[in-house]
Amino acid sequence: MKALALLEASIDFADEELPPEIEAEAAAAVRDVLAQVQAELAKAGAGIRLREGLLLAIIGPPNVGKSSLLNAIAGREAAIVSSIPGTTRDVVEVSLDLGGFPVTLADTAGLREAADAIEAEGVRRARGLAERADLTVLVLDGRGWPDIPADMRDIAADAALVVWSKADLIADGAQRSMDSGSGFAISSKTGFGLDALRQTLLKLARERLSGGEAAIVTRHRHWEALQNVQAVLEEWSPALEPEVQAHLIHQANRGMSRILGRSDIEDVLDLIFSEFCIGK
Amino acid sequence: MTGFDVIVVGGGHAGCEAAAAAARAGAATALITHKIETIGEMSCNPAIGGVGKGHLVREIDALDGLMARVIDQAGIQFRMLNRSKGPAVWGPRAQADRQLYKQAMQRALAETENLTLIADPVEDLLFQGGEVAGVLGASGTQYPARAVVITTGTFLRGVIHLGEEQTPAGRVGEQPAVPLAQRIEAAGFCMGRLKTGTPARLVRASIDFAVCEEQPGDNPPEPMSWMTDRVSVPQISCFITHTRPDTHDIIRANVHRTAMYAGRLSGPGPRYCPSVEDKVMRFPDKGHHQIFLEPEGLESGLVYPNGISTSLPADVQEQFLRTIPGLENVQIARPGYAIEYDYVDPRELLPSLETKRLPGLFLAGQINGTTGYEEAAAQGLVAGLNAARKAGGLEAAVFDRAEAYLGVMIDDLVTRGVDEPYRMFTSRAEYRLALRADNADQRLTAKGIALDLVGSARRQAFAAKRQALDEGGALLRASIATPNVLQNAGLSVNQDGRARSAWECLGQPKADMAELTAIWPDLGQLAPPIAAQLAIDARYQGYLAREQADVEAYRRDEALHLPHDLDYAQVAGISTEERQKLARTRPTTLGGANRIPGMTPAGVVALLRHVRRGGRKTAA
Repeated sequence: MKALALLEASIDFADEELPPEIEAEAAAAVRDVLAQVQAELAKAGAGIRLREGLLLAIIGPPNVGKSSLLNAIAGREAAIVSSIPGTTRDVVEVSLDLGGFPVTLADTAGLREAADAIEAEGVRRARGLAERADLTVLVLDGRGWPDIPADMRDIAADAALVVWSKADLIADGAQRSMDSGSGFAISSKTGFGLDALRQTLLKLARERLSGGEAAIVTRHRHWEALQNVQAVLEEWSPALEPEVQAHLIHQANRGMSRILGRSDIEDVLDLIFSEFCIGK
Repeated sequence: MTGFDVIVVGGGHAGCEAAAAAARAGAATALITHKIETIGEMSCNPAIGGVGKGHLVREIDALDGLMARVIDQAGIQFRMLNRSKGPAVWGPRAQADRQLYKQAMQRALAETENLTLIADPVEDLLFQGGEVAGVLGASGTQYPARAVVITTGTFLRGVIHLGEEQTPAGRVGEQPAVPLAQRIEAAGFCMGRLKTGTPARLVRASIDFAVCEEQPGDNPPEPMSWMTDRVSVPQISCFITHTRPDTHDIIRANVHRTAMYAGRLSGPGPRYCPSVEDKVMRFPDKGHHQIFLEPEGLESGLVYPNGISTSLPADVQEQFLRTIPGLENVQIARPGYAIEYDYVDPRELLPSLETKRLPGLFLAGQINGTTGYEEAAAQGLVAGLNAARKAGGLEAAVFDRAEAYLGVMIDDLVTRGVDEPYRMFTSRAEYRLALRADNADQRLTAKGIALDLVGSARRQAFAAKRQALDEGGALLRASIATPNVLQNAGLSVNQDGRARSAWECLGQPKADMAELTAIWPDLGQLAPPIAAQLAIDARYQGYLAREQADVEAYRRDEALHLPHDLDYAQVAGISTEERQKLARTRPTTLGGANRIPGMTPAGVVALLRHVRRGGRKTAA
């Protein structure tokens, strides 16, 4: 608002003696707002998730037991399981209460070269979900440990947790060394390791949901508006013509008013006339 | 006496444009005022245009109005304000020779077909079946008409304040229009009181310009009107000086002797046009205030000191003026004064500027709470046009916020009202990058032609220019080069392998047509004004494309008309305060309701729901 007043003053009152530092002041005000917007966006994540739930994606190659894990954590048969690779073709979502935090658990199609168009779409959605999710859990077949398939390595690097499944089918020694650091060994069949996994998920959820001060932005709609504000302010530069700068700031202002309620050109003019001695 | 289609009362800037617009639109029109000789008088600052105001002047011109053509015949110093900023906010301004301006305006009116000028102070309105049906002159003559436009400026119960003295008057030496004000008040219009001021007029020969800073005009002067090839009036300079601390001491010591500070003046004055005593009292830290010394004409012996309007007593005015560099021996030809006057709450008006209360009666200019010649003239044009359309049984022509500054102004007036004299600022326009002084003709002339408001000379000139712009635009889009070629020519572009057109290149900040002509020699064939116009269009295109979504949302809200007889007491889910505001303003569209200060989004949604449920979507 202040930046706008300064810029509008310099545009509408061309002939007046305005302080020369007005443009630097406007630039400082914009940068200040941008920094606040960025900080707010950083906090906003927690606010939105608290309201809309944490999205947790389960991804991995086909037939490693992702759906079994979902069912095991959810405590019901939400997803169809079979021994046929590629059973899960679309995203299956389950909402649950994890120690008081709302969590959406999403099971996805196994990542591989798809056999048909439907499965291909399922794989595409799985990758999309992994990008959107707040936490990803990569599930790999414990029998193949410790090798992470080459095409999974980028996802594994981003994943919050790597879970080695089918622990009931492998030797005890392997289970212990898996627990030692590089991942969790679990068995959806016997329930082995599931409690430890739940505890870890709860800890991660708590970290993400209750970080820092209370966020102003708790709705996705607001978050989008704020993203736009950020994009517009990042496009802004003091090297642009003043009216283009003002145009961008107006856009930012409109975005902000969607979040905070209105601001009005009369408010801007009020600020101009109270700060500068203007007019003939 | 035989009747007219349209009668315009008042011969100021609003009255002149109103009469000319009504006549252009084909109505048999009369302009009735108390003196023919003062038609087109500039009663305050002898200048036309500026930032925001210049946009209005260009829009008036685009609709074939008079103001721009008249100032081109009377301007003695033309300057493009804001030249250091982008073209969207350039403000064309011209200093006028008062006499030349008045003569040129009277000549333009005399040349207007369908227009009769009559000298007779208008005292009252005539009615027939609840509609306004003409006016009554002080001479006793009745002038019947189908529609009446009142443009009486500050003449409605004007009171001049000069120090301790108060004189009822419109301008110095002229009578205020009291009976007409009483008639308007008796009709139940909501009225308010405003004030404005003017500085002393100084004797030119008594000023020492040598100690002042000279401010020359642009050379060559750029005409205001698209119909003017070049300005042939001789050009002169203005001068700049400033107040000093001892000036301020004198003002502070005497400020209790002004009407304002003694509490005799109730109406609020404009924040952006403060008197020198306001400047000194409100900003005590400022050591000096700028003053523009503007000659009132080529032959005139008077100078207008812009920046120091005042209502201090005459002797104090002389005392403080003489502390100012260059004015040590100044002679005052006429002291400055403040004037207080009645205005009609513009929320009484439809966007056509017809009053809701008295069908057939239109109001334009200062009477609606605005200030400035350009604001008045723009309203005059719209009111005159619509009075003619009313007389001819046509539906009202409305300009919206996305197409013209005059649309922004009128919408502000009718939906928000005023609490200080309303002046046009570019910051009031949401779509400022689209609404530029340079493209007013491209925005409005076609609409003007469709409304039968534009004469044949301008129609032809516009068609030729439109064709040149289309061809030039096509040439720019067809001129394509690789990033490599562009970089070799000195442009900074991403080396991303994507070929770009000249049109795209012009969208970059600091793009230059001359550089592009080095790459594409064909561009050199474009006529300079066409090339300049295209370069500006191209510069803003990226922003305009994104703004389009906002414009569409705005127009959607504007398309939802609210019934004029909507009973706001029946609308559920709005607060009492909102209900009162809506009932007072009676907005014509949902968008208008949304722009009333204090309306909440929830209230607007409730209103929308009510109107939808009532099934009375349109009342146009």
